Amino acid sequence: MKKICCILVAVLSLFIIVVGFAGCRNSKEIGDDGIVVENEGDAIYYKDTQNPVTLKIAFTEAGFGREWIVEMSKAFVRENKDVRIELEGDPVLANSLFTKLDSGKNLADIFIPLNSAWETYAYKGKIEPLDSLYEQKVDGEEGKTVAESMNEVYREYCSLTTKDGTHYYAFPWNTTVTGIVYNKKMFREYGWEIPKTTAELKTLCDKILADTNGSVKPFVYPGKIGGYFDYIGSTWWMQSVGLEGYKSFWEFGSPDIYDLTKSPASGKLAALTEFEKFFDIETGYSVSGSMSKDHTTAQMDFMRGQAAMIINANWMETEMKTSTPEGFEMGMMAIPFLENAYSEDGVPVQYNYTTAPDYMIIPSEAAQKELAKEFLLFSVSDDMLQMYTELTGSMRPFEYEIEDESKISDFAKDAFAIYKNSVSYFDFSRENIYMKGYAKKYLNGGDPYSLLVRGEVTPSRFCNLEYAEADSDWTTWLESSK
Amino acid sequence: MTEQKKSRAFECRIRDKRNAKFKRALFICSFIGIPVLHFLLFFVYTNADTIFLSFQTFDNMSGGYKWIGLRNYKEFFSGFTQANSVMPKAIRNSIYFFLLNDFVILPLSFISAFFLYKKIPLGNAFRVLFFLPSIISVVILTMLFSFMFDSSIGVFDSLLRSLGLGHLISELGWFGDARYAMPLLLLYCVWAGIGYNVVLLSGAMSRIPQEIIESGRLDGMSMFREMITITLPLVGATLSTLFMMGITVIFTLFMQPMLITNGGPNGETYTIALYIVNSIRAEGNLTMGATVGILCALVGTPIVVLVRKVLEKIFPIYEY
Repeated sequence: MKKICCILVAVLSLFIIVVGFAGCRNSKEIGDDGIVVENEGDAIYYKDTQNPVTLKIAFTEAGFGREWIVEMSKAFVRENKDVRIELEGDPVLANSLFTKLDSGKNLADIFIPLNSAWETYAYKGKIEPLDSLYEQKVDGEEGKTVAESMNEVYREYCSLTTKDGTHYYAFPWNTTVTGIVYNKKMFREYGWEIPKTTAELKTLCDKILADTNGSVKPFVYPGKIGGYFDYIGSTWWMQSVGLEGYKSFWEFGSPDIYDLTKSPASGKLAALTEFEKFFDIETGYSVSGSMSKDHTTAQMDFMRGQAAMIINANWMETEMKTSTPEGFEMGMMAIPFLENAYSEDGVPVQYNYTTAPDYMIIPSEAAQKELAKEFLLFSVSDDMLQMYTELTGSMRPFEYEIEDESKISDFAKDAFAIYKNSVSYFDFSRENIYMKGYAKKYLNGGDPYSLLVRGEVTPSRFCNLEYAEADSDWTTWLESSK
Repeated sequence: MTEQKKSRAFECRIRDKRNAKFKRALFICSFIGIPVLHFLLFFVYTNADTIFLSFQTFDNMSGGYKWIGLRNYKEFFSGFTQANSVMPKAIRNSIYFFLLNDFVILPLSFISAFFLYKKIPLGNAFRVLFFLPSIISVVILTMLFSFMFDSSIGVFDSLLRSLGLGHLISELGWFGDARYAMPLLLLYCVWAGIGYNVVLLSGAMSRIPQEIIESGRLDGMSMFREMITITLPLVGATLSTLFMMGITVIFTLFMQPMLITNGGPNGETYTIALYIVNSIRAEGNLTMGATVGILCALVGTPIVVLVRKVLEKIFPIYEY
């Protein structure tokens, strides 16, 4: 018996070792163009080059995968045969980035993390200014500079005033399109129309419940991460007071920005009031129990047909690629307009709340700073921007068109159309009172959405509590944030 | 000449002796150096840095930290009075976890370990079952636990429905409902926490000399009496250690609420450690994290020292 146990343990150990090693990548592909790709992109170089210059790129290997950066690197090496690119994918790069910048150890030449507070490290002088890059022309001497071809809000965001003056420190990686993701096939089969206004959305919700006898809910909550609700809330807020009104909130001029009787807080109240109409648990418009799920299981409920819609963003298709049921068709619609949506020349303005910006930076102590800048410039050439969208289904905040739409999915087409037809904006402020964490987008403990879902607060009470808090603490906040 | 030779030999002997002394000192220093360096770097430097940080704030314009006195501490305490502040909830929950660990999980672990030690039928199988959650990654374990209570694929909801108790299922989901989220987290800790203690206590019990038990049996000692009068005092040192570890969860437990409920709903499942982690990770507020850490140390250290003294009285160490 003992012998059999020993043999079993030995076999099991061997199996674990073999399976473990099977996970290790050890491949080398040489393309017709002579570009060698080792281990799915760990190293990319031209086959005949001796003593190449190495450019290290650390990137977030998450929802958008690694194919885009591998292909971009191959294209760069094709044009710069003396360069070897080493890629390091890390799903949680933002977690280790700042330790690396602080210590100056294990530095890549380019870091591509998800949204995180890079400003502190620019203040510390750990990030290379990119002004020279922003002044360069994107595609040769003709046309616009990098700064000119970039979306305005990203340009503002990437610039920062430090003790060394005002410079561009970050470079935008990806921009997000948020909206309502819907089950296209279900919509087609039941003949449901895409709602343009919140009134139409309300009618649609009732129709979905009626047509399916309640077996399909209009929405599935996006899970316990409350941030998804803010996509719809912020968009309605912008619709209510217009972009300038919304931007005025982020100037944090006085506690009156929380006064619900005036703009911009009146827009917040309008947004939360509209939100409550659809997402209060009592309305019965959402899948039971989905508030306590993590976002992927909530998305699975949507894909299993338990709900017709979910608040999400353009990364959802790639994120759920491996779990998408056969024949499932995903579409994306813009957030419907409020009844009194801000309009210009009688036409309501469509807004796209692009959530938090993802970016690229070059450390000031990087070994190949100039080469890194060349790579960033190359990455925004028209071909590379198109390739990015084709491979990720997502956009970069630069001016470009998709020349061959057949190369992108229907979902990506929907997202791209929303992006093109909208004014995109995300939240950011350089006011000390905000950067020090005193004044926030939502006070009163934050996240009004889950409180509204649970019916624990009314929109006006939430806004009034915020104003009371800001009004009493504003002077202290100003003093403390100096 | 002889005198010269003698003096040279004497000098050589002194030199050799000095060399030997130096080598010995070098040998000792090289051994002591590593732990001393470790202590200086990871204890003295880290703690001193944390103390200094708690009196500072980051200054954007200079790109460094500036002295602000007790402001961080004032802000921490004023946080208690803010509407919807998570801090009171975090402290309450951390105390719940301590009470659960030391007054529910530990006694349960002791009883389980005793029965395994007494070789009940299928004892080894139970040992594996108890210990299994301790060797699986907490990420996987919390995921499995969440799935058990998932409204679409969860076993628990299916069971309730099949028993005709579907009306009891929370519309918000078990972890999204403030009434159930915290009790479920505590249940998770019982499920995942017993195994580790059982293994340590079983090990301690197996070292109890059989002669003591046999002599007790000759005097007609029952199993219950054996557990209380022999096993309990003789594994007292291990129990004390586990009890002390149970106290530290007040300041260290954050993974479970972070992975299962993310501190929600509405901050109902926050703990002190999760507050510190979120301050640093989500808000990048290193100085407030340091402040809370210092406050925890100020409150925690006397408690730990006091409890240790008390435990030493209750469970003296027996040599056997």
